[in-house]
Amino acid sequence: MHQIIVYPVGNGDTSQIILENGKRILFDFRHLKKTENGEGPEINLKDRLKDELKKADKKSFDVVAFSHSDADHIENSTEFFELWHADKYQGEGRIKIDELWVPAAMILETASNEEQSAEFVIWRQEARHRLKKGKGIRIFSKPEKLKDWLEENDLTLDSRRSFITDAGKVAPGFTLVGDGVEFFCHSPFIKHVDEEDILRNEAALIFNIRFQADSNTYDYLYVGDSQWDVLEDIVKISKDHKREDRVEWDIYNIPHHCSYKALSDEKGDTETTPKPLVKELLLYGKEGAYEVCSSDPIDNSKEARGQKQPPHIQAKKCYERYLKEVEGAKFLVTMEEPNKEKPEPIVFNIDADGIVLKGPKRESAITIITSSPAPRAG
Amino acid sequence: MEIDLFSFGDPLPDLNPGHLNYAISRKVLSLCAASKDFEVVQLGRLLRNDKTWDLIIVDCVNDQVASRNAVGIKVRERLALIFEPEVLPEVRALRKDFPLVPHLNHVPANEPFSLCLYFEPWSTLKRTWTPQKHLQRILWWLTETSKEKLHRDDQPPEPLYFDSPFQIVLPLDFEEKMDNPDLVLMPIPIPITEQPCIDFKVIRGVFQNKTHIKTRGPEKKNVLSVPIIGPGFGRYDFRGGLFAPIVQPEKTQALHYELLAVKISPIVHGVIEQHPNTLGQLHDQIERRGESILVKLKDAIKERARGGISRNALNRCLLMLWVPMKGSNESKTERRNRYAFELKTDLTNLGEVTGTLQRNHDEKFYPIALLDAANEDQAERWRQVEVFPITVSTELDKDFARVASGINIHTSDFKGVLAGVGALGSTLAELWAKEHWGEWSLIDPDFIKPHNIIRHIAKDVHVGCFKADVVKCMMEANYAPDYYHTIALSKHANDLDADEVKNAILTADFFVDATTTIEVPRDLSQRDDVPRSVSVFLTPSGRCSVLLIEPADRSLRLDALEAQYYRGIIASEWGAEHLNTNEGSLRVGSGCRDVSVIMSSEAIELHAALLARQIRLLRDRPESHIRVWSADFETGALTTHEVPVDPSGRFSCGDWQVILDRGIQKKLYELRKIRLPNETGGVILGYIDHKLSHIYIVDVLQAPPDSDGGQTGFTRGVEGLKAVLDEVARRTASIVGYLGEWHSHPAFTSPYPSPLDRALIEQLSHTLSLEGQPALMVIIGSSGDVSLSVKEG
Repeated sequence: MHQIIVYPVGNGDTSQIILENGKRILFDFRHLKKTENGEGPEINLKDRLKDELKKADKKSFDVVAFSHSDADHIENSTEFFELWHADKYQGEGRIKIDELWVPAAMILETASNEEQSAEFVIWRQEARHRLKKGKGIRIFSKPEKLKDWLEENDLTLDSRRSFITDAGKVAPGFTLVGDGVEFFCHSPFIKHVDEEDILRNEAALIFNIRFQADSNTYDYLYVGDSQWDVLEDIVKISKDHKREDRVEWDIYNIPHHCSYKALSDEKGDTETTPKPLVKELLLYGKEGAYEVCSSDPIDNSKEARGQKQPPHIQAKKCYERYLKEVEGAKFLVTMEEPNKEKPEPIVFNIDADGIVLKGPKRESAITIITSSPAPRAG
Repeated sequence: MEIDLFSFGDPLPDLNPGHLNYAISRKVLSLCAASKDFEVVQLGRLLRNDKTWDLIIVDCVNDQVASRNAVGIKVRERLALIFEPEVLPEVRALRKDFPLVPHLNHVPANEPFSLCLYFEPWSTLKRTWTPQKHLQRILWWLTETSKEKLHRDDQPPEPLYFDSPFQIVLPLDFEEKMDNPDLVLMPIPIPITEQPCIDFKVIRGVFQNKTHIKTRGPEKKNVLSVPIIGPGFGRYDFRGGLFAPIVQPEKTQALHYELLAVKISPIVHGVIEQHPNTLGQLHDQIERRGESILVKLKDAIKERARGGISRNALNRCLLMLWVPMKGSNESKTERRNRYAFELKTDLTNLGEVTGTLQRNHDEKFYPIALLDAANEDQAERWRQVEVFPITVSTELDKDFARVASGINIHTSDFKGVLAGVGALGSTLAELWAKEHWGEWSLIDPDFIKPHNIIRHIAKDVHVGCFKADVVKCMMEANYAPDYYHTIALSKHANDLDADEVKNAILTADFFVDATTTIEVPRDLSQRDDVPRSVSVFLTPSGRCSVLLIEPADRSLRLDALEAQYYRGIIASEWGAEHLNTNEGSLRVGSGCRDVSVIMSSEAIELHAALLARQIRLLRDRPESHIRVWSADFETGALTTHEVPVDPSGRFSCGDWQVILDRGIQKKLYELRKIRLPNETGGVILGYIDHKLSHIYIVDVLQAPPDSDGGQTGFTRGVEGLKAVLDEVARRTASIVGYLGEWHSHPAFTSPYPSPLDRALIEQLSHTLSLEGQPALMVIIGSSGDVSLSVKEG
């Protein structure tokens, strides 16, 4: 059985794939300091991940992938992981990363002076360090700028080619036969990175992650923060290459905390209308499919409809409409499962019978009442 | 993605809860609206059976259903939730290709499947049912059903069909007799009045002789001699003064069924089929498994119609289908399933539409010689014949009764004699009959008197009948007629001069004494040719029960165990109140012996259930036991007391036999030892059976404090002795009393009586002769040997 775990980290992202063979692939990392003092409702991610590794008797992740370097995808990660490029990021208790996956943009980004201590710069240093060493790194996409950077650092493209995976290719290291999974890279495209200003969201990682269990395969469309035009490109390119199967999905990781911008440039009053190719993408959902949205709870109020920052209720309604149309299952929000007060990670179990949500332990009302003090009587 | 759905009920304009008639459905609607697992699609209404039903059409989105499960349950299922406050809530799966899975209710053709969610009837369920639990239950049903793994080889094959709401109960010898052309199976419905729309749930099949039926008029045919007990039959009848089920021809209307039996070759199990609604569907279902029923059905029709049959439009056909199922093509038949279908047509019509019968000039129908006489039109008409499923079960048989009772089937076949079928004995008999434990002869000379009904399994109709006959009848009535047999002997169980009694006891493997007499166990204990015996009884208060069982080798007999039981009463704390009569007694007639104890049937059944099991369990073990149970009627607590059993000897002293056990000998030895080098002694307790000339030693008392024991003699004192004897008499219902004296001899001496001793017994016997009782003297010598002297004055 394979598992996908999506952690409740507020309007940010952290998810993990645990393969039947025990390999662990972590996507993004957002730890909120306040959770260390027991403040929620977000999860204390550090404790949770350490606990999971301890139970599995592991000290490292096989892969840690950063979809892009926005703070809500890397927050406090440089305190958690062991980094190779400087001693101060090493020491007891830090979690090792066997292989670091980043989009090319994370190597190439420039930073202003005041940003030099920011975490994205630290990760850039780490990625560059690993690429130079030729070890423990995978870069997605191969823009001209990357060639330039290599040359500036006295490296040739040929010597580093094996660490680079282009869009439209499957990342080496995992196979359907050997691991029951493969990572097909949709994005970033070269054009995203070679444009004058690197736009992080447009250059973020997007994968078709395909799982296999017995003879059944399941498709997980993993999207970091992305926008409708990128998604339309992906649909178009996939269709052009007759690779529609790579945009079909059993689980869709809703981009950018349910921002309408992943559907269209217009939010809509009550419901976002998706751009035509995005609509096609939504209709590529398979029967019984899930949508999982890593975000704060999504309310349906006047205030919520007016809010600028995601999540956008109008977008949620759009997702739900098409999910129903494909006879899909549920639209799940990380900060709402099983309840808004104390959300728990959403766990999908995947085996030959299909995808099942790992059920919350249903406690009887009596157990709940009797396991804690009763309210004070007057 | 288009899903083909049933439309069910009449849709309501919108989702306004006000459209719904019932609070229960409005509650469910609001729960669905708030639920993550249910999406309300539409409201509706259904008119059915003169009732209005609320419908809530929902999409049940169940994240615990695996998205590609092999069973075919979908994560998103369209369901109709149906409510009417007086009826069990119903749930229909509206998807037309909803898989045929276990636990579906039977529904009419072309209706959506109905999920079988609950085991309990609504009357019970509604005490714990809540709308919340109902929705949980639906999710649970779908989840569990979706997990049904495909059939593994080590599981028994699935039946072809699930049970239908109706049953036919077949006689045990059905298969033996079904092919007998002289017999016809008469299906007799057992009417139930509570459900006017369905007038029966169970049909009992009874074989009748065909010729016998033909001699009667059609309106009162065949049922007169059919003994059926059913809930609709009401009162019972006398047969020769005995309890027997009444037969009321006007009520026991026979269904006019013609039996058509079809056996097919084994088929490989697969998915469970939905009950067919027409003969054509049934035929196709079987044909898909590679077998055909049509030819065999035609043969059966011809067979039934041999000699010509008349049309009776009211008649129906009953198709019995034998379907041996196997796990795979290679495997042996693993399971034989029988199915029955009511064909909604009479035999003549069925014969016509199948092209097997034709009307002759005498208006009767006869088999057509050649099959091809039927034209093509007719060849398809049989397909339309409506069929209705009837579940087949068989009358209770021995093996099932034993297995279902959880008794040891390896030791349950034996011949037993149950002596005494009064309150306790009859209840034991009934319990053992239900377990089919043993094969019994019942011996009891008594007959049922009105007051016996209070504690006996007999009913008012049995007053005046012999108890043995009544109990036989009641035991046998647990099974189909002529299946279970007992022998009833209205005699005394110790009257072995009576040949039947002697024959019954001497050929038996086990003898149960429930006579609550002293004489039966004592008398039978004297015979070596009697089987291993057990004696059980209740104490007069009904509070305690007692079981004495001989060892398998009969090295100890009931009479010796009886003596040791009394010692237990005397020596134990529980013995103080054991034989008390708490409630007193009642006079039930004018004679001196017409006295009945006050005791409820509750006490009898409590102890009978306990004793029935104990006897059954202890019979499987070789050793001897004395067990006593005391009930505390206030709290219901039951305490077991095990009385130690000692080997016992039978010693002849002139005309008398003295029964002395190892326990007494040991006690004498100990008492002597304590007093050495002096002599000691005391009183012997016991009782005498003058008929048997037996002296039973129960216990020996130690020397009263004022006794005088020296190295050369012993004089028993009297201090406290009367009080002890009085207490012994009280505890043992005056059975145990003074028998004589015992004393010890000093070191290096034999137990042989000295001249002084002879003088002692002489004097004792002289005094005891006033009571007609012999005197007993017991001497224990230095080696532990004991001498016994009996002297009649």
